[in-house]
Amino acid sequence: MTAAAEQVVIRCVGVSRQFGGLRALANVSFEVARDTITALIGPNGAGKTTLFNLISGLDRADAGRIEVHGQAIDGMQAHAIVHSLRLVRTFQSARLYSKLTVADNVRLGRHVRSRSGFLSSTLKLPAARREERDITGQAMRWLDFVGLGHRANAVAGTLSYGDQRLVEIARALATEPRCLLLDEPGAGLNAQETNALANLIRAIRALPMTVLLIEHKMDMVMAISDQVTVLNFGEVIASGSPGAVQRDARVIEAYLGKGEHHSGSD
Amino acid sequence: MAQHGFISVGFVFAGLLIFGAVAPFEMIYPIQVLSLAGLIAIQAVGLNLLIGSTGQISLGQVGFAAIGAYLSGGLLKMEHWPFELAFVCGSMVAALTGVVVGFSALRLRGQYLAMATLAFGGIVFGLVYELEITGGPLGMLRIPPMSIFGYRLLSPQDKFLAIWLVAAIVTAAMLSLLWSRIGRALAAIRDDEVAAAALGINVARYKISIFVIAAALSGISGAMYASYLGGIAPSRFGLNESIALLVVVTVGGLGSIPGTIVAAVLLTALPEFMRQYEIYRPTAYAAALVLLIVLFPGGLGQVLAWADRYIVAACRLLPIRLRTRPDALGAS
Repeated sequence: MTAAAEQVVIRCVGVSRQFGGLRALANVSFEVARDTITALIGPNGAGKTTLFNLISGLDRADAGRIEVHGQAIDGMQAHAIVHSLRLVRTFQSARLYSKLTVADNVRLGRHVRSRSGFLSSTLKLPAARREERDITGQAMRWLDFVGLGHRANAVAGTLSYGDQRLVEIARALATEPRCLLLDEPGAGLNAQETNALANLIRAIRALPMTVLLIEHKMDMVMAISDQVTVLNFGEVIASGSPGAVQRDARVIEAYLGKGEHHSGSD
Repeated sequence: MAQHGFISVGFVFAGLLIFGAVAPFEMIYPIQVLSLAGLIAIQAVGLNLLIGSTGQISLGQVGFAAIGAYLSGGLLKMEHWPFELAFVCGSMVAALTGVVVGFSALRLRGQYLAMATLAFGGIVFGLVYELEITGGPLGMLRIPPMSIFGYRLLSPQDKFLAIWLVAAIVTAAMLSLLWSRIGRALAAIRDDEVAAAALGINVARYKISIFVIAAALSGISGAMYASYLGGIAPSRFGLNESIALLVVVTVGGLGSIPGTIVAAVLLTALPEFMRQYEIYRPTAYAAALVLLIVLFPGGLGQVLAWADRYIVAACRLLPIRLRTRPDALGAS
């Protein structure tokens, strides 16, 4: 049991979420294995982001059970999930603090791993100074990791869209997660940037890290994922290796509609 | 986050403290006006932290000052406590009240929080107005003066120096707090609470903490106010006073502690210097306010930020090395 639990980082069992009359998620069950890249795909409105919101504690499921590292998250607040369960997420539209510098954005990721309180922060006690140096050092380390160390002092809002996404990933990594949820990191990127992103996500897996990814760029998904789960109208319609999912009749139907078709390439 | 204008406001404090130390006795009137400005500044710094750093509004802020004032005043007058103890006690109880109000405020936002804090201010006002122990509508008179280690602050200069020394310490402490991991977290909470929570920042904890700090600063101001005037009445802690604080924060610039200090001085001094215009005074005051807001939409903090840049540029020309971190005056 414990050995199995350690291999499964995220487990959803019968998760449902309803918004008024809209059934966003219905009885969703799936697992994310440790130190793998798992992609969550599906047409717009399939419930992918809703599921991210539930796993990251920003929203509550109506029914079902979500476990992270074998621990049920029900009732846990978002900040506690980052702090104790070491699971962090990014957003569909990079939610950077556009008025702050790039470095300050990533420093914010270190907040959860630092502890200087009101008194020692105000009095700038040696421990607080030391911690602040460590915060900056770690922030720079993760900025270098995503290749943006040279933009540290730029105002975040002035960066290109692609670079903003990378800063958001650096900021998430700075929280020292064991599991990273990326919500459409490839959206709006050109071919070259998408390529670089694919390599970055592979490098993140090698840290090692468990990655759960929402993505619409099928070439990238199929190239980097170890496992793919397909959602449609709030239900899991397929789950398996990229190749198997691509051949799944229900997946092809969800993406291309009923009728004549020969392959599931996107 | 480093606050722009912190160099200029240092000069403002130095100027005020020197003025208080050397001013001749004939200057008693400006000294008294500026003393009140200092007490307002202490409260306004707290309110600006609340609104500017966590986006929580308070329309009943002087309710906390009333708690500090009446408790400290009462302990001094009826229980004959030493001022230091009464002062700490009044401020602490104001802060504890801030815990309760801050906790309730978590569930409220925008106009609903405005209404709830308005109600809090109303409740405190009603209590001090109706209770017998607070002296009812006439208030509490013959409150002993401030004293420190047995030295009684009786002259206007002494009181002025004490008030502005406290204001300077409060300002320095808050600037230092904002320039730390906590200040960074507060900026994050103000700009995007959801993103902050998703990064592991405990939003509720910081919102309550800032509510408590703001309440404590109001309590400190109130406790000093009671002893400064020697007498207090409910009318000193009404809705108008809370609104006046809000005006100081707005003119100073949301989120700018240095701007708040200068706004407190300007807005307290302005009506006094307009006394010669008599009946036109309220109109002139209102016009001045509108002009300030139109001229400096970012608040006076903006002006101080410019001043800081000039000071830093001037120091580069002169052979003076200012020890500043790269982000101290940068874009952040």
